[in-house]
Amino acid sequence: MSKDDKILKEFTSKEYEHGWSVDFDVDQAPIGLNEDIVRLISKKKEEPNWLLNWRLEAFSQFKKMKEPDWSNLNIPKINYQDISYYSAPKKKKMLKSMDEVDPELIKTFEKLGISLLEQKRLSGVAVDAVIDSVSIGTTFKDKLSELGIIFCSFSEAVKEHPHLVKKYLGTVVPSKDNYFSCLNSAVFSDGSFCYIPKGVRCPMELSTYFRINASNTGQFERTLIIADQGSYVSYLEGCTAPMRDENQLHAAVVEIHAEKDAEVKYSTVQNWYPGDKNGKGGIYNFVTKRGICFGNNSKISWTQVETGSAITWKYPSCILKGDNSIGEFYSVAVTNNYQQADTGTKMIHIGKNTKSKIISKGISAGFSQNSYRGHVNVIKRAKNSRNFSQCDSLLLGNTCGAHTFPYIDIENKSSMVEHEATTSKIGEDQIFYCLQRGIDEENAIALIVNGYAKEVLKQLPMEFSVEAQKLLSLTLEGSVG
Amino acid sequence: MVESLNLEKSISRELDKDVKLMKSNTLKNIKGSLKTYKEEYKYTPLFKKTANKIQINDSKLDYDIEKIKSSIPKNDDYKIIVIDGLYKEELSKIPSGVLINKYSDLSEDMKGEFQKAYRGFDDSKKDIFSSINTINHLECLTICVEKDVNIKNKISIINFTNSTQSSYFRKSILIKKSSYVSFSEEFLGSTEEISFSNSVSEIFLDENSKLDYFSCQNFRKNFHFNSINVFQRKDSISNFHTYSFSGATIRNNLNILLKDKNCYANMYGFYAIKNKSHIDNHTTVDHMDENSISNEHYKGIVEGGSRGVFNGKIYVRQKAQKTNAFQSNNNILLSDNAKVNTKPQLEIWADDVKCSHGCTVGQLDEDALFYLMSRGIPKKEATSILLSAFSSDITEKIEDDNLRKHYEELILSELEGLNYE
Repeated sequence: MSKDDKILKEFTSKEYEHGWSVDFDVDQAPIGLNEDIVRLISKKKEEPNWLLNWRLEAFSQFKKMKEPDWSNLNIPKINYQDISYYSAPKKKKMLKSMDEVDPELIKTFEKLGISLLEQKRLSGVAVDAVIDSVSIGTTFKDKLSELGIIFCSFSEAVKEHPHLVKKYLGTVVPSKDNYFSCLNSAVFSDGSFCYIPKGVRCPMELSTYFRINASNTGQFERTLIIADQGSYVSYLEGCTAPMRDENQLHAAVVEIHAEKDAEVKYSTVQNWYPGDKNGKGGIYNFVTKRGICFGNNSKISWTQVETGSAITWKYPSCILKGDNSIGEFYSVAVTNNYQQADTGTKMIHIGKNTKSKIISKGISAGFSQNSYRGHVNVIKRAKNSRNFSQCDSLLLGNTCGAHTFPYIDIENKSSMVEHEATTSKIGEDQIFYCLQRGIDEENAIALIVNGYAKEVLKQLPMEFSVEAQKLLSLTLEGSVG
Repeated sequence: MVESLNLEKSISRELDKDVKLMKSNTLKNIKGSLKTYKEEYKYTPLFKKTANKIQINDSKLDYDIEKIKSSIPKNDDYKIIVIDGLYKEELSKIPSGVLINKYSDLSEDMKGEFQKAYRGFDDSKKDIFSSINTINHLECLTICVEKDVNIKNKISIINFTNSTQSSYFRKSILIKKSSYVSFSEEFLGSTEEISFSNSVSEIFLDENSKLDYFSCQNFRKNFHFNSINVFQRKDSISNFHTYSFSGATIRNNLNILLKDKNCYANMYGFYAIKNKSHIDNHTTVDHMDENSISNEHYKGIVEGGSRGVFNGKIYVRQKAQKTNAFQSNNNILLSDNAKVNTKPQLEIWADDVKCSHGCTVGQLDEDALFYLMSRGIPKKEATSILLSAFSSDITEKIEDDNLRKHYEELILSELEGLNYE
């Protein structure tokens, strides 16, 4: 067996660590997608009429739309009628404290390594955990509410703060924006809502965990983050899903609204089930994430580490509307086996003196295809704007592919845009250097890959950074010859 | 939309059986070539602008042959003269070792040789304008450079467009083993009216051959579509130099297929445009086998209300290990009404490769400008110096001294016409 084969075999035989599923009592909607389902979801969530109408309008639009086919992905035909659009652990009673949470559920979190209690005590992270669409417990709420910060599940926000939801919902990602955001708008189940009032600096990292638990449930969460004038928040999102043979659909929408002088940092570590070594199963992840720097001097920063999902279709974007606003995008995307990823960003410069930075690091192994797709647009009135993009690809083995599709459209003379990209494998001299110093090949590769991705990893908050580094070394264990 | 073009008429008048088959097959697949139109012509909606000009004129065109003769340079250089897509032997001068014929006049043997070039690898399956050229062209000019021939002096290919509608030019070039040839192609229009010229070429480079190819596009009013498709065998070298200047809508497709090992392809481009000009350069390099090198550098100065579009694709196939591929596109924007759309694209399936691309859009360095002005050089002149320095990266790649001087002068006179303020 050649070295490459050996490595491939080791690599692909790696089981998915988070592959397990807990049987709760699940309240599940009947399979299929129609107007009644939309009404049912809305009713189950006791939503006001305006929201139901908003959903229905999105649904009627959805029926007219076609699945996008421009991506560099090979997407098997998805039967949207074969999915259950709502699944929630049966609600027994209102929970007042963590002690009332289903012990089974707490066990679930422990398995995931995000024990709520543990985190509460040690890391000071407020976690809004979402399992199959309903937010179960929210920690640190009292402490946050002292500062006037609202951090709750989306359905709670609809009940408690309807004026805020009504004002901002769909303003950054309109329901008709694209096929998947439209589907999400019609059937979204739950998600997180966050509001930071004027001048408040959120004292802790806000975090939410998503898990797709029940088989055959598409998860459609919706996140809305509003940072009022001069506020700051760092928001973390982590995702895992148990092993299932059938593909599960995930179409989330994240909207960020940053007012004058506000700053939002949004970090994601996504390690959903990528399918087995033959490309069977895995999550289809079609996510629309977009932020608007609405006020002057505002800043939105996206950081993502993508190691999971069978198919990833995701372009966290920034609309730089306010003058002097800043958009950033840092991404590490790792694909292995038959995974496919088409991910990147859009930076739309509208305000004067706006700046954006794109750092994308793609790593492909096995038979996977990894694409970067970016769009930098500087319109005529966005004088003195600046963009720098760098997208590098690393290929491990000769059966995978790396692709780069950067679109750059510039319409004034005072802006500067730079783009650079490279594709290569890990240098033999680098490995040689490590070997020579007594580091074995596997560790050398982990070291080099982590160094390669460091620029992005260092953007992550501490807790995530450790997890992401671990994930990277794990996924790439023994993958280079 | 395609239906209204009445393309069947062009097929029905074709006499050669094989060519007729090729034309009707292309027509059958024309819907396929339209599929990529939306993406490939995103910034250059040429189809709408030219749809009413796409048909070929039935009546034989009258033109003033004396006027054309007077615009042909009076020198002893080798030249190939083409008027409205038809080769004029009496006006041309061909070196020995080069055979020039219409495809229909070729012997059966030669036709067989040209099969691999003509109808072999042009982009008419993917590009609507190439498809239309394939269907509408009246004759294909074949140029065969014989084995072991080294032609030191360049051969000019001069195209005259008289038609107020459209003219189609098709040529097929076969460069046999271990030969060297250099072409310089120019398009000249003799009418003041806006017309559409559509040119498609296939170039086949056999083992160990070398080609230099210059095209100078200096249209004033024409829409111009130009597709060059290259097929390279082992150890062959190709150098393309494309210079585009103001006054027209120009679309260049340059597709290079590096079929075998050890191929070398260089693509250099420069554009300086103003007013409402529109230049669109689309290039593709496809690395099919090991150890090939491709090198691409396009630079442009965009002024007035003009638009510069660049799209470079590099494909490195799984078999093409040890490939080196470089691509870069630099733009200077001199006006707030000018636009640049650029898309440097890489698609790679092999791991042991070195590939990179880069692109920039920006302005002249203010410090450099200040330095020159502080030494008594007026702003306009200083700008001109910096802009010609910007272009020199491209012109210095021309090996032939005379030709380089010619292009440098051309660029300088073009830069003087730009408005820097």
